[in-house]
Amino acid sequence: MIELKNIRKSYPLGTHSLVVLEHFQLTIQEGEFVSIMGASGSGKSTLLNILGLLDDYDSGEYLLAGNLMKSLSEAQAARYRNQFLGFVFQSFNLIPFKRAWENVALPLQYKKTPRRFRKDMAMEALDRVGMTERADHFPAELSGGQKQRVAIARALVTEPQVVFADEPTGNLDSHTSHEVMDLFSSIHQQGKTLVIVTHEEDIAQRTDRLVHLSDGKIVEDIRYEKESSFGSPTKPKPDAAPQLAGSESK
Amino acid sequence: MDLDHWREVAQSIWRHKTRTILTAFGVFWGIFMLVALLGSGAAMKNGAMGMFKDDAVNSVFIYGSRTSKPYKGLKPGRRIQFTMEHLEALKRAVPAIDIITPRKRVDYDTRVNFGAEQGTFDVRGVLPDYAYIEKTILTEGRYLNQKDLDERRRVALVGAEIINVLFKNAADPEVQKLDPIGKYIQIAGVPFKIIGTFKDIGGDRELRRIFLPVTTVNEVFDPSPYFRTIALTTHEGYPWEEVEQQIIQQLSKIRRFDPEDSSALYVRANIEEFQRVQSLYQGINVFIYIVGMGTLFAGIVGVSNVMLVTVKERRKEIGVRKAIGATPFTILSMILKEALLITGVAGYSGLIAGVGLLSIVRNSGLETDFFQNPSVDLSIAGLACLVIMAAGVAAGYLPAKLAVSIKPIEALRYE
Ligand SMILES: Nc1ncnc2c1ncn2[C@@H]1O[C@H](COP(=O)(O)OP(=O)(O)OP(=O)(O)O)[C@@H](O)[C@H]1O
Ligand SMILES: [Mg+2]
Repeated sequence: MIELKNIRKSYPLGTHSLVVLEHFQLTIQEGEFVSIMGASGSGKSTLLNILGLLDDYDSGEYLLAGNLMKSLSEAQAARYRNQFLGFVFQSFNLIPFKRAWENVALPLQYKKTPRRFRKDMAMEALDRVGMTERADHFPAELSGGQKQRVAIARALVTEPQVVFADEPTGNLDSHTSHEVMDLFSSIHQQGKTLVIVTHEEDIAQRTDRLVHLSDGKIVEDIRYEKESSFGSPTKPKPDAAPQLAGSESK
Repeated sequence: MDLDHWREVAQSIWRHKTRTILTAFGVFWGIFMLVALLGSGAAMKNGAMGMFKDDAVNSVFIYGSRTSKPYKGLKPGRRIQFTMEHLEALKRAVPAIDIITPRKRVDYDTRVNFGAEQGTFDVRGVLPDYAYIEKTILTEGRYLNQKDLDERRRVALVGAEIINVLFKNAADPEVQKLDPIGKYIQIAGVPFKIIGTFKDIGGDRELRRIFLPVTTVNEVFDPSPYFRTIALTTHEGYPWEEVEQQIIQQLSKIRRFDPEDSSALYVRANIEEFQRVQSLYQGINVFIYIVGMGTLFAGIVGVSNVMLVTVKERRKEIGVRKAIGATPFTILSMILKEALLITGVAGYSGLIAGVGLLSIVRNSGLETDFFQNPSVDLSIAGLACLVIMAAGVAAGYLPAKLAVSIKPIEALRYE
């Protein structure tokens, strides 16, 4: 599904530039549930932005479902994001003056889905995250966990193939975090490819695979046992054996 | 067209309603001022132009006076007068002349009476066509005609005010009831039959006139063939400046005076004053446009500024929209639509308020001779609509560009 070959990404900083990723390789298969961890500044968000077509890279190749994603125009990138990708953010990023269902329906508007279908589809997506009762509420009237559920519904409404989440539980307490992770697990079980960035070990352990970054390099790439995600999605195995040697963080 | 786009636009405007209303007021005021000023300008112009309605726009009056320069051995101080033959020669020589008639005055203050009722009035001998030049409006009876002229009939076309004095307001109630048409009045003691009565929008002064066939005037009052005033109209399509030169040249030949002698003739062309007033009001119109557009421009700058601030506040929202699939064009059109909606609603309210104000003024009797029928015509209203649209696009341009330039990663980084 996702193939990064020899990616280099730098940010211009005055006269010189800061190289964040170099010779970066990563392959994610369709249907994988991947978490990315690493210290602050290690390049997790940078990586996720490239994967999510929110940012361009300097050199290398990025293949999304076999298509080369390189020097796309803003409009092309927007179309890919709208039709293939879904996003969930740490701070939810719901539009405050829109009701929950209107927030969820917004990507459909950009996808030019006929008007008469939009509300039904939005309600269906809200149903999947258990938020139908709050459909007419404004974001300010929702708790953090509820907001994140609405945001997840918004990411799912267009039936994307890949969902990216940058620290989706970063602003939630641990109980709510696990509820949100339950949701991600069930989405994963519906066959979606999921990539989430997290700082929390127990969140990462609920995924299939952990990619550990340090200074823009993969220092660890652990695959947890299959059944941990397909069997019982609630019980992670904290002592799952790392498949690659590497320094443990935290 | 997707209705949801407009709903969204209305939604986001509604969030900042106080701020939006305050700034949209600038656009409202700009259009309102423009319409109100243009309407007032039109009213002043209508008032001024009304003064020319009195006589035909293409009418010309030529008054013979006294020469002040010697010419071909002739001494200065000669009186310039004309006869019918001169008049015909002039018409033959100047093809631009349409109607031409002498105007031979009996006296400004000719005594006129009907039985005991009397007054002094302005009595003139003319050709039948004269009625067209002064735009006299027949109220009863008929105009003078060629037969009156040929047979030197003692008939009179009488102004409405004279009818009032001699008949309607007469002391004798029996006289009040009489129909003036066909009655004989005494003009300087000579009986004349009233064949018609007229009114004229030129004012009371013009209603105190009596027109007689010029041939009758020659026979009864003044046997001299000379008269000093010529009235004429010109055909369309001849520039007046050239026609005037031709007339002066021809008359100077016919009556032998120096064409450069400005005191020999006095020429008054209605069209000259018409053009002068017209260009004055064109100047006023330009001024109004500058003031109105200036006000409107200030309004546009206001809307644009507020929208820039709003777009900055909405960085994150716009970033999110882009992240979930809004193309740059979608964002551009969203901001432009907001600007269009704000200026559109404000502008059309201004247009309606302006037109409303003008119709209130029209219907409230505030009109005077100098301020008539304040209104904006359809083409100006259409222009205002175009201006409003352009204003919307202009106001939205910079904010929309700013919104398009927002990168989702930057917008989402502030967490
Ligand atoms: N737009 C940018 N311009 C310049 N430097 C940037 C930019 N974005 C990120 N960086 C730098 O690139 C490096 C990687 O940043 P990135 O946001 O990917 O880290 P991260 O792993 O997501 O960290 P965190 O856990 O704090 O979110 C950091 O040193 C950061 O300062
Ligand atoms: Mg980050």
